[in-house]
Amino acid sequence: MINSFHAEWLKLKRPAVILGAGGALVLLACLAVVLTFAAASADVGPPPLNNPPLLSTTAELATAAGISRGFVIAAGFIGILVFVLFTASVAGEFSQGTLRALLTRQPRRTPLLIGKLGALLVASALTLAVALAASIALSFALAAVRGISTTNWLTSSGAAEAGRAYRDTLLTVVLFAILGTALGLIVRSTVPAVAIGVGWMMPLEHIVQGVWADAGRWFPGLLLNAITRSGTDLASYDRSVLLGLIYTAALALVGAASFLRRDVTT
Amino acid sequence: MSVTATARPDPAARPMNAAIVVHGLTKRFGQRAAVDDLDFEVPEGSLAGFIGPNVAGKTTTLRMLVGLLTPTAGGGDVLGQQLTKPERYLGRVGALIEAPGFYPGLTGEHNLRVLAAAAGLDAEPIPALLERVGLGKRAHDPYKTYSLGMKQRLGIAAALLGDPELLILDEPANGLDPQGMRDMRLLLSALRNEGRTVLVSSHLLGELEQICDWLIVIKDGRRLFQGAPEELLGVEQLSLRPEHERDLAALANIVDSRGLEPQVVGAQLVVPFADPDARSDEIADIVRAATAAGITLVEIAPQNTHLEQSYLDLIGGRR
Repeated sequence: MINSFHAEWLKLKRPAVILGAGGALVLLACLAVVLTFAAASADVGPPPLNNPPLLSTTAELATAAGISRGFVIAAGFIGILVFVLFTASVAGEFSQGTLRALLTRQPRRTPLLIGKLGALLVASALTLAVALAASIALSFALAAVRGISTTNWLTSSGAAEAGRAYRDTLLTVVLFAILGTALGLIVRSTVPAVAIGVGWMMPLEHIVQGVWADAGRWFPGLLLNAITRSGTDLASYDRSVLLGLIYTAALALVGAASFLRRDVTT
Repeated sequence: MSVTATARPDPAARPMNAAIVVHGLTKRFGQRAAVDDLDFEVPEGSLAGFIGPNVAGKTTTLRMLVGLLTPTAGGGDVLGQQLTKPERYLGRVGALIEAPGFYPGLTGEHNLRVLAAAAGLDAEPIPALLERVGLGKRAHDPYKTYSLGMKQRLGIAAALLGDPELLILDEPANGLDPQGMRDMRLLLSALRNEGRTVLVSSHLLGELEQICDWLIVIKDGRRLFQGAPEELLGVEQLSLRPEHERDLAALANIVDSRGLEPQVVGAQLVVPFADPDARSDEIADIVRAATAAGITLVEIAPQNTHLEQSYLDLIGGRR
C-alpha cells in the first residue's frame, strides 16, 4: 500500500499536475470569491424555490460566515471537478494500459487501489487547504474594496466557520472522489466514465429536480452539494451526510468488487 | 541497445528444472475458448519462443501467467509457486504484456520510477537500464514523443526492473525496424546468457528461430509442439545423385539394405535420416558401398527443411 501511495505520489508531485489540476481547483475557489463579492448587494431578493441563496448580501458577508462564503459556493463545483479528475485518473489506468503494467509489479489489488486512492485524497486535501487559504486572502482584499467589515471574521467564530467550511468541503470532496473512483473502476474507460458521471451529476439530477421537487432529498449529487451548504430546506446536513455515505459506500463496494474480481483485459 | 553474448547454449546442458509448468490451462470468454486445455513447460535458463499465429491464445496465456486473467480451468507453477498466487512469484518476474502501457505525460525515466516505486524497488539502476535498451539519450523526453520501437524498448527496460529471474515478453519486436529486431534478438540472447529464463512470444518464428533453445507452438489455444528447435525440424534428408541415372535402382538397394527408406526423385535419391547423430557414419558407409558397387556419386547434398517451413506446415495442419 505504501509502495502504491509512493508511486502515485511520484505522478502527482509534477509541476504540470500541481499547476494544472491543483491550480484549477484554487482558481475555481478564487473565481467564486470574486463573483460573490462582486455580486453582493444590500438586498438579493427572495431565494429561488428549493435552493439556498447563492447570492449574498453585504450584511451576510460581514458576518463570521462571510470569511468562507465564496469558498463554500465553490465547494460544490470543486466536488464535481474532483469527481471528474478521479474518474479520469482511474479509468485512464485501464485505457492507457498502465494498470496492466502496475499489476505485474504490484499484483495485490487491494493495497494498490487503497494506496492510489490515498495519495489522490491526500493531494486533494492539501490542495483544498491551499484553495481555502487563497480564497480567504482574496476575501479580505475584496472586502476592503467593497467596504465590507471583516471584524467578525477575525474572531473565534470566523475561524470556526472557516474550519467548518473546510471540513464539509473535504467530506464532500472525499465522497465525490470515492464515487468517481468507483465509477472509473466499473466503466474502465475514461470518456464513457466521465460522460456517465458528469451527465448524471450535472444535467440529469438538475433536470429531474426541476420537475420533481423531492429530488434534492434523494439524489447523490444534490445531497453532496447540500453538505457543503450545511444542508438545504429539503435535505438537512445530517440527512445529506448519511445518504451521501450510504450511496458512496454502495458504489464503492461495487467498484471494489469489480476491480478485485474482474480480469484485466485492456 | 547494448548487447553482449549471442551464442546459443547447448540444449543438453540446460538445467532440467522448469521455470514454468502449465497443465490443462483453459480460458474461456463466454463460449469461446481462447486457451484450451494447454500444457507446456519452459525449462529454467532457456530462451523459449512462444509461437503461434494471431489469435492463437498467446497473449491470453501470458496474461494468465502474470495474474491479469484468472484461468477458467487448469493451473500450473511459475518459479515453483502456484499460478493462482501471482503475488508469490511476480516479484521475481519481469513482464511486457501486449503494447507497453505508460503514462504519456511522464518521461521514460519517470515512468520507470513510478513502476519501481509501485514494486518497492530501488530506482538507482534505471539510468543503466535505459542505456541498455538504447534509450539513454531520450530518457528525459515525454513518453508520448516516443516512436513505437522506443516504446517497446522502454517496455523491455520496465520488465528488467528488479533484475528478474524470469522474463515474460509478449511480442517485444513489434514495431521495430530490422536493426531494432536484430538488437532485440541480441539483447534476448544476452539476457538468457546471464542466467535468466526468457519466455518470448511472437507470431513469426523467423524472429526467434536463431536464438531460441526451446519452442512452444500453439494454435487455437492448444499446443501443437514443444521441444528443442531441432525437434521441430524433424527428419533430416540428404540427396544422393549418381553419375549415371541407370544406377539409381542399385543405389536405392544399397541404401535400403541399411534400414533407410530412400525415395527416387528425378535423377537423385532422397534419403531420410531419423538419427542426426548417426548421419555421418551412415553417409560414409553408403559412399563406400556405392564405390565398391561401381557407382560414382557426383552430388551429396543436405535437403534441410527450414524451421520456418516446419512451423508453417505445423500450424497449417500439414504435419
